[in-house]
Amino acid sequence: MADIQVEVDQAARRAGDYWEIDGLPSLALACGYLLMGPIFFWWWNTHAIRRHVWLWAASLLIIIAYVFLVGLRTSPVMRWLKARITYPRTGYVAAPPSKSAEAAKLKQQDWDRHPDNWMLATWGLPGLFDEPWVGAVLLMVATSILWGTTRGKFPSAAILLPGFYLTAIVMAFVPVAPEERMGCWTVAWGLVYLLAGTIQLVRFLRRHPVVHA
Amino acid sequence: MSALDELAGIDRVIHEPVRLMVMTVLYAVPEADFVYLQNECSLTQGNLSSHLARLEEAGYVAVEKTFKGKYPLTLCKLTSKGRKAFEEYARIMRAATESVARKKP
Repeated sequence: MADIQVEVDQAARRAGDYWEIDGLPSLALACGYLLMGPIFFWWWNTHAIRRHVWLWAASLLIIIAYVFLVGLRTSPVMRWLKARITYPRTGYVAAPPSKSAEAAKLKQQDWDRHPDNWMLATWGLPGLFDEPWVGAVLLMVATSILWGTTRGKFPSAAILLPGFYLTAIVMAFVPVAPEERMGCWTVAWGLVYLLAGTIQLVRFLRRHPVVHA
Repeated sequence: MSALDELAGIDRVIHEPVRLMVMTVLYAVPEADFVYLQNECSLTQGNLSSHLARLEEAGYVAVEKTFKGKYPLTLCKLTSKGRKAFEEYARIMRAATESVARKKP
């Protein structure tokens, strides 16, 4: 009977992972990074933020609006896309309740295996050091930890992990000022997620034709 | 009543393998639609329909026809009666397994 609990946990895990099956969350994240990158780049490159504080507030507002409109599970754009792309093909399942003990346990385990968490942990670091290779090494370390803890068992790992390494290597040699580096890295991650999400979405559409229940 | 005696009175509606699969999936999530259950349990439409009807008849599963955008959904969820029945089923099976393990020479 302990096996039934294992089966329940696994069903909850699959339902939790189901949200990312189609690559849409990666594409939403990619668009978010590609939106934020130029904003950061422009902030620091033009020093506009020092002259006009309202620009900072407006940019922040754009980012927050994007997160609520597109990025979150409950966001209207994401629900609209899922209803047209995912549910007709592989069905709909609600995420396991976040207040349950099982969900809390799964959430804790998920932190390690989710690439965004590790990447966000290194996000602002490239801009703190004069030498570009320091940020690159930190990103490589974060990617290696991610690889070590997950063994690559998360959606699009085969694209994201090499993508992060490649980004680190390229950025180590790109001659940009430290204050501009954060914007460049954000755009680079956006491109990596864009590639990963697109490939995942194309694979999903090919493997799952529309089902008429 | 011993753990093994309890097995004689186990809930046969849940004990059927396909229905046990469906109940396990529905126990783990708040709700799922027909297509998801079909994929998750690798069942045909007819097979899943008949087992869902049996579970609905027993009052363990509530089935509701609705829409997500324009996409029609046949939403299924465990009722509180179904949730309790599944937990009781799990308890009896656990007790029986442990009882057998203790008696193992």
